[in-house]
Amino acid sequence: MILQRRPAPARRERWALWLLLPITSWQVLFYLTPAVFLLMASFWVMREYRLTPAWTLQNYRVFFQEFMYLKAYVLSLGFATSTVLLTVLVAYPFAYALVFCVPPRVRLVALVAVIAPFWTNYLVRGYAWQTILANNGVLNYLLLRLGVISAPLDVLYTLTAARIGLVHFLLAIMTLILYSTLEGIDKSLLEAAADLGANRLRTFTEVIFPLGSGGLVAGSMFTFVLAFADFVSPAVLGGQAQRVFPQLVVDAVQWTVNWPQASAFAVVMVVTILGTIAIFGRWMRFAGFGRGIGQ
Amino acid sequence: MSAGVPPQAGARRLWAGGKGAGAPRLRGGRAEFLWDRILQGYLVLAYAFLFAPIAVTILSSFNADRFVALPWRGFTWHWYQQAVGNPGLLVGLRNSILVATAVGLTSVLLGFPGAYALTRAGVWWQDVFMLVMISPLAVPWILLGLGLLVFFNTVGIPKSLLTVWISHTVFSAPLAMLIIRGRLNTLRRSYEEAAWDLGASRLRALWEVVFPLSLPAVLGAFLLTFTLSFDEFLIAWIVSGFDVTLPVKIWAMMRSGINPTISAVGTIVFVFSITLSVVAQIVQRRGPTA
Repeated sequence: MILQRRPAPARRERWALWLLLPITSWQVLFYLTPAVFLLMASFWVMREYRLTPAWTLQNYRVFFQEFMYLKAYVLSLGFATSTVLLTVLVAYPFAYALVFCVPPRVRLVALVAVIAPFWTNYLVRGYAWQTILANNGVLNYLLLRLGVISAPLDVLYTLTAARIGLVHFLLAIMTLILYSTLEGIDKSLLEAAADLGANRLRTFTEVIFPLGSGGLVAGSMFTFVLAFADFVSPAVLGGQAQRVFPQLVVDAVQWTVNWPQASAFAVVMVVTILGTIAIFGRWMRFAGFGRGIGQ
Repeated sequence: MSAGVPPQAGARRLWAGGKGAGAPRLRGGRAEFLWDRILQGYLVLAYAFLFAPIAVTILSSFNADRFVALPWRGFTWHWYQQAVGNPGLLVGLRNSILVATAVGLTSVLLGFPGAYALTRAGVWWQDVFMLVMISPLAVPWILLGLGLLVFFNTVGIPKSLLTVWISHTVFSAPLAMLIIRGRLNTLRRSYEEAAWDLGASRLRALWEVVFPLSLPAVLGAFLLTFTLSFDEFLIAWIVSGFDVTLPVKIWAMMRSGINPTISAVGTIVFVFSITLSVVAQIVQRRGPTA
């Protein structure tokens, strides 16, 4: 979408660059400056409920020395990893089926139906999962009625419930990314594989999967960042026993009102995300990102 | 998708994306036929999972039982009456519409000139610039909200709907610019150049030729950024003061336990958002082709 091909510029209208000024000023003032403030505030302290400039590493020390925070951080990394793996497991067959099993006539409708859940508010979706996963919820009601279980499952207010809510949120994103990659694979390659006697499985493992790996890595990276930083699903569906890192950040912002502490945590999150992007970036080059895309 | 389709037809449909007569013929054995059925079954399950929350929301908003969505205890409008009669929700709704309208307008006002500049100035760094500009959409919003909170507090702007408007515009304006740029890229430049040749100034041609031609994208961008702002919770929660938006109010209601009124509000918001999106699509499709 960003790197669209455009018609060759007939005349270069340099004066038009002035029109970039309003939006650039807005973003410098309200995006870059706050980012700098966030970094600075992570070295400040809170005195009498006021942000007070100081240059201390105390806020970072808290992160490394208090077990609660490190534990939540590690928990978050694991939570995000398992969520992304689960999302891939659900999304890959979904995208595959959309590309290879759904006739082109109804393809558009099928794709719109994938993003339809986005039209509900994320909070309301969380609330819906509460009513589905609760002890007296829809899932337990149906399973009990069908005789699959004899006692209601205790799912709500655990990390499993949070993971279900999050997978639901990430599924649409991952499926669309995988769909566009798989859809872009040159069909004559599949034909060649068939002519050479490969069955479905072999065509998948030796042609489709390698060519689609770029989209897989890109989608995993994007969803990992979203899963790692998500607050709503763990807060609404998770329990009090296992709280993830973003929940502690929000605690520091909203409840204890210790913004410098929250800022230090935020910087830790930014570093983690940049690290993730670096790791996935290397992997992406390894996977030959873009080979599967384009005709 | 009836089960009676012979294996051959099923296999041919598999690569239906190919070109008509020259569509590749694949080996269509029994295993492949079974494989197709399994995938179709999987599609049904995946869609059931995707639509489960919406279905449950709508179901529980009409169910007379206060505590569960199922079993069904009879139809009621009660939760909708509760929602419409709740002054806190109505104030939240008004605030959300106010903020979302301001965000939509500001985004288009900032985004249109920016998009025009990028498509016409012909600078080599435009793609990089665009990437940097839309990065607020990829940055976790908890970080965006916290940074803005610290900034507003230090500079001395009190938390209010004003700060929510500023914050939401940070991720909405670049999105509007992206959408409008897509339209401007496909627009033939000869219309504009004809206006210049006929003696119109650059700005007059921009206002009287380019702007009307990109109106579908401008309206589409307005509606999309409106919806984004209307639905956004986390940043609004962090930077709003006593005047809260609808999602923040919903959050407060959710903290006080199970209440089907939330489902009723959720259903209303769902219908509202889906209508806006459909209108945005129709508006973008129509308009003069260029």
